[in-house]
Amino acid sequence: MKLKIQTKFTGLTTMYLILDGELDTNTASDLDQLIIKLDNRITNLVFDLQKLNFISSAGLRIFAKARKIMKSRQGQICFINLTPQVKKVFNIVKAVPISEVFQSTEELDAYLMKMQNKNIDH
Amino acid sequence: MIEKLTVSATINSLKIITEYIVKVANLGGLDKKATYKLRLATDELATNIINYAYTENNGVGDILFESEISDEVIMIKIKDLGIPFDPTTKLETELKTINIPIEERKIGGLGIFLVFDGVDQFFYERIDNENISTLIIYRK
Repeated sequence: MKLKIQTKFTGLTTMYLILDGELDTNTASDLDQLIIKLDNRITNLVFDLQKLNFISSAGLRIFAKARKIMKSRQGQICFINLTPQVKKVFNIVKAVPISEVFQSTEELDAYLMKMQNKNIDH
Repeated sequence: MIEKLTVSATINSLKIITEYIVKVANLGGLDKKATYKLRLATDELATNIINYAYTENNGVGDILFESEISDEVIMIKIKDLGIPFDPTTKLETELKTINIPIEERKIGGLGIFLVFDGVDQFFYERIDNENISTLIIYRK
């Protein structure tokens, strides 16, 4: 029962966090620490949950906290590749607005592109 | 058949609890999905006991599990000797707050939904100084 966190940068302000394993009371603090220590130029976090095979409310709290931090920097968090079971947990506690969940990396990329263009326009 | 487990109410015990619950689920022939839900429900209940039950006793205390598998159901009793806590009352309170954004909700409220979603029936009793939660899962 471990959680592996892989990070990937796709630009100066966006970081992918690929979670592999289980996000529960035991492992939530690892993710929490990582997010707290992020460079404050990071304004968008993308959580890739394809390999996340368990999540409890302790894990959901970390996502909520991450959202709060990113919003305070005028950014946001997104989720991609949710397994049906994790999606169900999200739905039960209404933890995540539907607008933050994307089916695939392609769908997310298209969205982020649109957001960036919008920022340039204004 | 009865399977028992007693662990100290600490975060480190969660791994043992998970292994125990998965074993019970397997013995009861639950499928992957039902096992996942049961695991989540017990994880949330146990975490709650670990975090709150023994605060008046410097966090020192035990969690007891008793699982019984019959032809029709798996029945898991989770017991602690901590402060009284009725998850069913908690659920009613939390249902009123489900539409408040997660950041603004009080700590501890989320897990209760996962507890009740994960089981077919749930009972709570306070007998002498003991909290007893009974989880029932149909074997289908």
